Amino acid sequence: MPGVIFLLALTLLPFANLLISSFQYYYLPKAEMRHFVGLQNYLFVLKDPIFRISVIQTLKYISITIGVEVSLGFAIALLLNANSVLFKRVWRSLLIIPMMITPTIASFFFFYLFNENYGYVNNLLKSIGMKGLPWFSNPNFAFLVVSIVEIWMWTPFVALMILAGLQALREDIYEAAQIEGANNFQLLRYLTFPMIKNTLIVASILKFIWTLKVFDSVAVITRGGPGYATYFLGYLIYNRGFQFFKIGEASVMAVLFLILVGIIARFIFNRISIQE
Amino acid sequence: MSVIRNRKKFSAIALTILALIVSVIFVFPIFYLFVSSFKHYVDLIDASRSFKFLPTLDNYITTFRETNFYQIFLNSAIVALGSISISTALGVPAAYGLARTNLSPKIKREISFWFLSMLILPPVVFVIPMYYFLSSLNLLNTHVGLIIVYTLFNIPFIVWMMRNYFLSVPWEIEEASFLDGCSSLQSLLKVVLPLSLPGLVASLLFCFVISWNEFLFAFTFTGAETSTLPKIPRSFVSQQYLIALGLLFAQGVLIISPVIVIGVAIQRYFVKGLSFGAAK
Repeated sequence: MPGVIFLLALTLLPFANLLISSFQYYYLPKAEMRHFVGLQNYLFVLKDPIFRISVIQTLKYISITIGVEVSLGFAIALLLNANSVLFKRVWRSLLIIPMMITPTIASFFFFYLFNENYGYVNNLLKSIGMKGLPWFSNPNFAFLVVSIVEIWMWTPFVALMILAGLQALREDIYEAAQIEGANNFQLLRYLTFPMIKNTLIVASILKFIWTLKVFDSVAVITRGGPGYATYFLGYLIYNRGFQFFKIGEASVMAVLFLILVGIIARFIFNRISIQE
Repeated sequence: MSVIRNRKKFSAIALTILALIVSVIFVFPIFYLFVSSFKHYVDLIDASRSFKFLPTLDNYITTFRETNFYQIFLNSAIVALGSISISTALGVPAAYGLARTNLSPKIKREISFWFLSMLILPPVVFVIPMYYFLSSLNLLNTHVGLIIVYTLFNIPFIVWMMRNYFLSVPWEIEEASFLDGCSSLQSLLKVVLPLSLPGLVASLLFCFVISWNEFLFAFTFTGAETSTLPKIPRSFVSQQYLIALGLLFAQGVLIISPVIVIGVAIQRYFVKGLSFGAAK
C-alpha cells in the first residue's frame, strides 16, 4: 500500500505543476519574469483562432479515422470469424503487425510511398493513366495521408477486438435462428449486430483515446502543415511549448485537453468495469 | 448433397482468398520496407524498379561501419529494459496490494480508476511538467531521465493488468500459504506470482514494445548522446534525407524486427493490452 501512495504522489505532482503554470505569464527565454496573471492565458487560448482550428481538425481526424476503422474492422472481424475460413491463425498473426511497428518508422515509410516524384502511389496512379497527386502540398491530401497512416496502423486492432467479441457469442442462438429460416443478412442484422453493439462502442471509445494521442505521424510527415491542415492538438501543445516557448499558453491547452480526457476516462471506466 | 458440399468448399476458398488479400494489404508496406532496405539509391528513387533491382547489403554494412546506429540501439535497449525492471519492482507489489487489501471497495475502485486514467491521458499533457521536473534534477539528456518518464507510464499499466491476474488466483491457495507461515511478501513471491507468471511476462513485453517505440518524450528529453531509435526518421527527413535514404530503410528494418518478434509471440495479449484489458 505505501507503494500505491508513492505512485499517486508521483503522478499527481506533474498535474499540480501544470495547473500552476497555466495561470502564469511564462515565456521560456524570459523565465525570470514568470508571474501569476490570473485567467489571462485561458482567455487568450479560448480566443486563439489556431487553437480553434486545431480542435476542429483533431475532431475531424478522429471521426473520419474511427468511422473507417470501425466499419472496416467489423467487416474483417466477420470475415475472420466465418467458420469456413482457413489458416485463421496466420491471418491474425499478420494483422497484428501494423499496430506494433514503431510509429515514426511507419510514418516515414508512408512519407516515402506517397513521395510526389518517385513514390509508389503516384507511380501506381500514373500506370492507370491518372496524374500523380501533390500529396504533401495540398492540405486535403496531406490530411488524407496522415489519416491513411492511422487507419493502416489501427484497423487491425479494432478488427481483432471485435473478433474477440464475436467469438464470445453463443453458437446455439444462431442454430435456432437458422432453423427458424433466417437468412445470413437477417442473422447479421438481428442477432450479431445487437449482441456486438457494446463491443463496437468500447472499441470506438478506446480508439478515440489512442487517436487523441496522435503526434508521431504529424511530427515526421507533415509537421502540422500545409497551413494548419494537420495541426492536431498534441502537435499544437508541443509546438507552443517547445518551439515558441510559451509555456503558459501551452499549459492552458494541456489543462483543457486533460479535462476533456478526464470526462471520457470516467465514462470508459464505467463501461469497462460493467463488463468485468 | 454434393451441390451443397461444393458450394461450401467454394465459399471456404473464396473467403480464405479474401482473408489473404486483406492481410497482404496490411503487411505490404512492411514487406516493401524490407525489400527496399536491399536497394541502391538509384533504385530507391525510381518507382518503376520497385521489385526489379540488383539487391545489395550496402545499407546494412554502412549502418554498422559508418553510423552511430549501434550506440542509439544500445540507448533504446538501456532505457526500455531499465524502465521495465523498475516498473516491475514497484508495480507488482502495488497491484498485489490493490487486489488483496481490505480497503473499502469504493476506495480501491477510485485508485484503480486513477491508474486507468494515467493510461488514457495523452502524453503531450505531461511533456511540459516533466520537462521542468527533469531539468530541475539535471536529468535532461540522460538515460535515467527517460527511464523515469517511461516508468511513470509502465507502472499504471502493470498495476492495471496485474491486478486482474492476481484477482484470478483463488484466495484459498493463498490462505493455505499463510497457514503454512508465509508473510504476504513471501506469499506473493512464492505462490501468487508464479501462478500469474504468463501474465507478468506478457505485461513486461508489452511495456517493452511501448517504450521501444515511444517518440514524443525521447524527442523532447534526449540529445545527441542519449537519442533513441524512434528519433532516427525525424532527423533523416529533415537533413540528409536524399543522400542516406537507403540507410534509413536498413535501420528501419533493424528497429522494427525486435518488436515484430515480441508482438507475434504475445499477439492475443497485445490486443488486450492496447484495450486496457477490455478485449478478452
